[in-house]
Amino acid sequence: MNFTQLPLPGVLAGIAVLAGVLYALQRLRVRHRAVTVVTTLFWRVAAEEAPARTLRERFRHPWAYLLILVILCLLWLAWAGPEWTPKESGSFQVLVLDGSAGMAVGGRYEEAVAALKKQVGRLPAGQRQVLWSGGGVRTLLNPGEHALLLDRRLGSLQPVAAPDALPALLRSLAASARLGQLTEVVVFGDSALPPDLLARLPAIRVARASLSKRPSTINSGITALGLTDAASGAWDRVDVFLQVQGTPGQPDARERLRIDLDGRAVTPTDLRPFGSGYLLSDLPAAGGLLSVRLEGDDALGLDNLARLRLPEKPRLRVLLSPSLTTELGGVLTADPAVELVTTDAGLVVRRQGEAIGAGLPSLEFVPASDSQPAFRVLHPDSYDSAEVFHHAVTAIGLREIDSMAIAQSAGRAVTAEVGTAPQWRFEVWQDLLSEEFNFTQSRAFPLFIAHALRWLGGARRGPAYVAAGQPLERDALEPEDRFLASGGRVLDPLGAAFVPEQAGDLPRAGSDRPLAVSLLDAATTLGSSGDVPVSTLPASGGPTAHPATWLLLGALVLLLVEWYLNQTGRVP
Amino acid sequence: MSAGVTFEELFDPTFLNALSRWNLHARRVSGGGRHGQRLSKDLGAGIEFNDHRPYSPGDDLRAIDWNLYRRLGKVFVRLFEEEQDLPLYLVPDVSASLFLAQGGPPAIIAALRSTLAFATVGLNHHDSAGLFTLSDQLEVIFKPRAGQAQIMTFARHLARVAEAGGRGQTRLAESLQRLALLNLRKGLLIVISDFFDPRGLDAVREALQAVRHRLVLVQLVRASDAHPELQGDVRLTDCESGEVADLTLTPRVLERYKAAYSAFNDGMVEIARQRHARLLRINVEGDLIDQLSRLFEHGGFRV
Repeated sequence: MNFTQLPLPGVLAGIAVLAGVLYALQRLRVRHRAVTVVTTLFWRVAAEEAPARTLRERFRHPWAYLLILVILCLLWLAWAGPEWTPKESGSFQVLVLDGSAGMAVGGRYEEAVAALKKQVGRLPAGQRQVLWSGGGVRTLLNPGEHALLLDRRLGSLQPVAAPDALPALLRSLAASARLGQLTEVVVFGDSALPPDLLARLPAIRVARASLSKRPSTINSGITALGLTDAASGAWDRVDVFLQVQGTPGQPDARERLRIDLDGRAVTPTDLRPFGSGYLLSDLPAAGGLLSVRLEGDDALGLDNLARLRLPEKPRLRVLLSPSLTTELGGVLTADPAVELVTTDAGLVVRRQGEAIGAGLPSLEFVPASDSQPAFRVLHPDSYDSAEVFHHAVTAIGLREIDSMAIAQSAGRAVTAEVGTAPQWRFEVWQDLLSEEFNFTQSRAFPLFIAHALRWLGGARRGPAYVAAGQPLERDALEPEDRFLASGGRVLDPLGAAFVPEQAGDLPRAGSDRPLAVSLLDAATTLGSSGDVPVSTLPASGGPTAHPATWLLLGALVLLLVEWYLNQTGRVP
Repeated sequence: MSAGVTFEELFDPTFLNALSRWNLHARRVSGGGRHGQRLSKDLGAGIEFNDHRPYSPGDDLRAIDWNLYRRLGKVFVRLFEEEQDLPLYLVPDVSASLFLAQGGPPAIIAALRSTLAFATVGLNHHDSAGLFTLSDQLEVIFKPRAGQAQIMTFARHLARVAEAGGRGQTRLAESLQRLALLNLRKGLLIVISDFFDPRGLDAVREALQAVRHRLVLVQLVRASDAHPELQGDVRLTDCESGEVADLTLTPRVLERYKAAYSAFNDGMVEIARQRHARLLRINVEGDLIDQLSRLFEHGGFRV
């Protein structure tokens, strides 16, 4: 047994002090109640064998002293917060409460919480840690913290619209496990525990707390919502794919779907079966928020809503230098994303040295000199060159260009560089426009020009889908895209692949249009995550009742005994 | 210390009315007293014939039995039983203990009422009654007087005693020795007290040895005397002597107290038996009229 309020020496010292104080009190003369009587004649006779106690009288009533001492010791020990010490298992237990969306079915979450509290009460504070796994990992109890804190920290926590993330947590725990020390992980919930994963994590031993069997439920949910460029070829339109999955026997999902774009309903007749789902064609790519709701009662509500922020794809207003009209006029006119203008242009296509479109982002054709690489990306100083270069190469598709053929035709190496300039600029050898290179006649030429202009114009398709627990397409984002946590903290500031933890709005720095994240997890919707068998929680190591309860009960019984003895005159 | 009771409270009309119904039966009284209703040991000018004796010079010629002289030729005089009064010497205890109220009425009320009851019964039957008070020493309030008119006088004196409050201790020996010195005619001595003499039963026994009167002991008791409702650590102060006793009252101590009190009562009974005295116990917390009615009615109180 150990104590949460005091160390063992402190508890023992307290008992010694109590015994000493009681002993002194036992020897002190009591305060007498004054009573006037008609005669003390008979009292004197009665008192001959039982004189009153006096100051520092001899120690009397040892049994009464022991009784009071035991009662006080029991109360003292109860205050000291004793805890049972379970049989030494030699392992440290990490108790993981599953807070993913799958736990929102019926009373699964409440049952898991009850089992967790029970297990926490069984373990000494120093040998357990309690984690929450749902839309990220959160520590509920650190080793050594009192179990009473658990209630407060659980607070109003409820399962969140996030997929099961336990495998990632297990990998993290295995990585941080101390060498040679076995960490026992107990899962309270229906998280998937793939045996092959567990086999690869020898540093941890995973058990699942015994909960009641997961009820078979009727559920359906939206498991996919993504977009792609419009098949119609319209630049400012996108096609959206959505998929609904569920347990068999459900009514036609199309009748239960309610779709709106920025609050305006999209008629279900616009839905067209496509593969395993449905397709919505030619939605305007104007940055609107598409909401898809699956109506009707089923076991899980968190997967009945999915949202997607559509990209904003305005046409590029391009100012074309007259000197290039012959080579590029046709290509640009055919590009649905480009609108050739003479005023209010957003970017310019020109030859080096021309003054047209000064100050605008430019696609510039330069003479091929020894010092001039075939392709050069120039950006303002405030951007990271490597990041910009990587992004540009991917976006413009420089890898796909047949650089070998160009190099053979030019008789020199074809290279790409990055540099800085006051304004965005993409420099290309103007020799590539000559018939000598046959580049303008290739099928890649319109694509190259189109990609270059889109990159310069900052046009991004945006992520094709945004699902909780799934990394975002890095290339679909702007280099300057930074996501903010609720407190304004920048998530993933180092630019690593960003993984939204749970469904909801994800604010973006410098934008009033947050990214909409959806659950989109078939495993959660179909409820198949908890079906993998694992060992259940080992038997408890101690009684469930708190020791303080027994101590207080004991003190109460002894108080009653003392009252009875006092009433019957056996103790003073 | 005062009982805090007025004359009207002490002797209310109900109580005074009840007194007229009561009677006292006494054996033959000693002679030398005044004419009364009790047969005395003296032979004289009564109504009831008792005996003859030879005439001697100086005898009343009216007492000569001439019929006997005619038959026997000798002169005899007739002797008649003489009826005299019974002197009552009422000695209520007025020490401080009688005036102490312990959650109930002080014992002095019952003591004074009992005194008046005895006096009234006597005076109603042409007896004489005297009043003496008992505390540190005997105080003579007035010597025996006869006549029903003395009843109210008696009551007023008793009321003044109540108003005066308690004083001194119960010292039976000193008080009764002084009574003996008064050389009173033999009568009925009625001592009304709790008999809590600081020196205990020995003092009571010693005191009563000097008494040559017929004796009635009226012991005033209360329930708390036998079963004190005390517990824990107490400092007991004797209301008469001021003596202090610190006690830790355990059931064992209480048992010993009860045993001592019971022994005291047994001792009182024994003393009464030795002195051929009547011992009456009056519960001061009970209805006094009921208790006295049971005593004086149904053939009266015999002494």
